[in-house]
Amino acid sequence: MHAGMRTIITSSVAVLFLGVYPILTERDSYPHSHLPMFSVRRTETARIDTAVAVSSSGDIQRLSPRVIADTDEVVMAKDAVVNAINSRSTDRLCAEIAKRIRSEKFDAVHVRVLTETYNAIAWFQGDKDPLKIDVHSECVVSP
Amino acid sequence: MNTLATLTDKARQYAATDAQRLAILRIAVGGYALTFLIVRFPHLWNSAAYPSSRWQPVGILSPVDSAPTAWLSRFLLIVAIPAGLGFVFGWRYRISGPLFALLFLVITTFRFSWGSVLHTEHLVVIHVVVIAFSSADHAWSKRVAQHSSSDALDLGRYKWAIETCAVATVVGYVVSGVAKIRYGGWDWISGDVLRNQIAFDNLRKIMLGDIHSPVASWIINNDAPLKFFAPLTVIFELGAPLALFCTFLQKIWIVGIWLFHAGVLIFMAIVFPYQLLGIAYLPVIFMTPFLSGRHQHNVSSHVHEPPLQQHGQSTSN
Repeated sequence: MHAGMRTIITSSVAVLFLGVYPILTERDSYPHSHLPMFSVRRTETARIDTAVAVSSSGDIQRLSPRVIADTDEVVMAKDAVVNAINSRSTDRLCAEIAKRIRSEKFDAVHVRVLTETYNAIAWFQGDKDPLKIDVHSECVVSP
Repeated sequence: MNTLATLTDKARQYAATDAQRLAILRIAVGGYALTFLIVRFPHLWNSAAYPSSRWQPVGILSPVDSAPTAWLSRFLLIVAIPAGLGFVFGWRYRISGPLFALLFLVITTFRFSWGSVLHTEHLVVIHVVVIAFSSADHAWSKRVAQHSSSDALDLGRYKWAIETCAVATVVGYVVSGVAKIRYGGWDWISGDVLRNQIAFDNLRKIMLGDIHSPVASWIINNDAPLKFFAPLTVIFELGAPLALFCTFLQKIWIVGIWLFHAGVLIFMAIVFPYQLLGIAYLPVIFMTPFLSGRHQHNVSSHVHEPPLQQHGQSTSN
């Protein structure tokens, strides 16, 4: 086959598979994706799905991706919470987190799976109070 | 800019022939993919035992309704390491190349089938697949002496893989640029969406107990640079194909798009290692731009391409 023709064929396949197809279908898959990271029209209001531990004195403790979803990837931890909320399975996720907390000896009596709403810009200007908190599940961390 | 020009010129001089350039891609891309598997081995090993309720298959695993058994996933992971070594060293490349590409595709797809598709390995796997099915073992490999010198005269044998990898690199940026305009609209270009994105992303990291950017607060409260960098980002992404056509634009584009990834790291604590290490741009550096004396290059490469057996000898010296 002519040298240039090989490039034309394989490059065309690459353009169709990696460019045209994902753009037309808006599919975020792998290895083809419409690469939507950083592209969402974010406003100052940030809804953050997460899980926290509550200590015996009522203090809130932030949990790591490892405790939330047994991963070191923050996006995977976030998606684990989002997927649990969307599939109404936050009770199960809460129980899994409580189990991991027990093994890591946290000072925690409860776990909450929740959605916190903040003004993200204001948060970095010092106003750190949430605008709203929706608790999806709460479970006990047994000793 | 001058430093990059010097570096790219030195890279081109070091790998004077397309066979050598493709071999460098094999070593760099394969080395990156193999290192990725080794570094992420504990995570990949553990993820094999995730609860099946989290299974949301993507890509080639889409038809697989339930998560594969842990032992199968771990077996593939173990096999991938020697296959990766074969890929990097060009040992039994006709087998190790496609085998490693397939295993890397399956393992990374498996990784993203637990409810979260990250976008850091998309380009890596495409490059691995393209290089795996090319003649990337005709220089600087264990079996180099087996190939006939007549192979060297078939210049298209190497060029297509380099150019396809370069096209894959730039297409990804175009797709990303289109997404910014489509979903973020003109507000994205104004810098406001980017500022909100930086605030959101760092706040989420804080709320999820992860490392966040120490300078996020500064850029959010001093956002004037974002009004300059946001439109520039979209211009560099949508204009990425220009890097394939002219050497001057190629160098400007590589510097600009690398700085974009550096900015993402600095202000959002998000690492794109394949891009930051520069491996993603090697195919663009190694290809001959379509409007830069392409014919002349072909002729000179044809004349000076040494017999492949000499490649092996030169590397052993």
